[in-house]
Amino acid sequence: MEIKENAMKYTIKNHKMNGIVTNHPNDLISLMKSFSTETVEKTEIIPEIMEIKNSYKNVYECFRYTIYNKQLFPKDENKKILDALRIVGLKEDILSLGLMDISSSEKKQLQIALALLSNPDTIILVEPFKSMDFQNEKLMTFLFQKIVEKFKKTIIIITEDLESVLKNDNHIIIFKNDKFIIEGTKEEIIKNIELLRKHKVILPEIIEFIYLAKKRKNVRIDYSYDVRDLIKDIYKHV
Amino acid sequence: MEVILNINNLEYKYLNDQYIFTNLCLYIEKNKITTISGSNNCGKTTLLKLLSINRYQKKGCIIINGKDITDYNQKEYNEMVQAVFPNINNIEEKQLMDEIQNHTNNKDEEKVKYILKELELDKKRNKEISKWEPSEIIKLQIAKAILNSNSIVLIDSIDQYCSKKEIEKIYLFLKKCIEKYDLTFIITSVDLRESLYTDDLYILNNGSILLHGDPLKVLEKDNIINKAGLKIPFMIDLSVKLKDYDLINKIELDEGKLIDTLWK
Repeated sequence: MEIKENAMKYTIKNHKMNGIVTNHPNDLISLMKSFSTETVEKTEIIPEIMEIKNSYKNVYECFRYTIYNKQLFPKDENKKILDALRIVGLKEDILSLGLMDISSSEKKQLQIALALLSNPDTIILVEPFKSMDFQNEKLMTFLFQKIVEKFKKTIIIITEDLESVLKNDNHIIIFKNDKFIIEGTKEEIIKNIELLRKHKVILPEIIEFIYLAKKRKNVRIDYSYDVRDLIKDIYKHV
Repeated sequence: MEVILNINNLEYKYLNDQYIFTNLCLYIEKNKITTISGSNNCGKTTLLKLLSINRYQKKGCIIINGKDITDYNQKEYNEMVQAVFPNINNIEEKQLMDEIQNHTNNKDEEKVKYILKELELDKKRNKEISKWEPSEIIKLQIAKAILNSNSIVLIDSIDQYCSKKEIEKIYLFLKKCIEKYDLTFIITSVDLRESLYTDDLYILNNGSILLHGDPLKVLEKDNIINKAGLKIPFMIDLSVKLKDYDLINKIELDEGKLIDTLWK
């Protein structure tokens, strides 16, 4: 789908993971809200979809409230809840736990499960990888890929952190101060590193380091996202 | 070195009987910023919760200023220890601003002014809080904790709502508060880059201490940290590996200097 907004034009790839990088995530969320009401597609925005309130007695009540609030009327409510839990990789016994007793990563999985209840076409996530360890980041990425590939959903990740979307096979769109800068694959983005620097887009530290080494010392090392690959390249060229 | 807080043989389990701490021992130095890090679900937030209220049912003891925390009355304890558990959904914004306003009306006018200015909230003061950015709400919660505590401030994972730049500014401000208001900070974060702004680092794993010490020294233990599911900050990770290859002889945090050392 193509989005036009105040002379800006960029593309969200359907049935793919899209990463939108911006230094003003809140402005972009407002933009996405307007776009989600203007299109016929069903969109769920996380964490906007629901505020996980600690006042819910347990996770089950949280599901029941979401189903009621969104007037979903499923034929088999329990099956719907269990299906959503299964997709995000949560076990059934979480339903009886209080929201204070589940971890922050489980809360994120729960938010996605709640978003899936209404069977949306597009899921928009704001900073899904923040406060996440390495292992959970991998699990979450795997979950997004599964939602895209198996359930044919479009995922849009809104983040301030270019590094978090450069690592995976995302379609990347970059904004700076609400102005569209560039879109493309990670290879296309990195090819335009001078443009990113011109607009003061914060680069991943590893990319910045390689850029500086190339610029200052004319060193021929490839852009990589893994320190071990970089070390091999440095070893060859020192 | 003056120790302000001591945890001895702490044992605590969740409602589902799963143990999170079995024999946890740690100490916190006075007038320092200590980071408690570890992978998700390792018990960082639980530990701060146990410290935030002195009435939790637990085994073992927690000593603050030489006294078991259960021996303090609630009022004394609240004046001593304040906690920030960032939550922009449940925050009772109006009440929070009223509380800060009360400080202004009373004796702490200057302190309020200073804290709000340092956290860049002074110009926001008269604006409706519903229009504030999430990071500003978190900073307001930190401001309230600093205003109400006379000893220890606990801050749980602010990186979810604050950018790297904002986090750096918050840490610089906390350092100023240590001297100005005689405070000690205990901060949890999964992001080890934050520990570089702090004085002491604990890494928790499976309910016990995996590593402890000066952050720069701890972060050199790359294999142990990676196994615990944490990412080492890029410049330290790179330096440690270059040291292993004998390409450099010390950890370098400045990328320009490292490039100059490698390619003279």
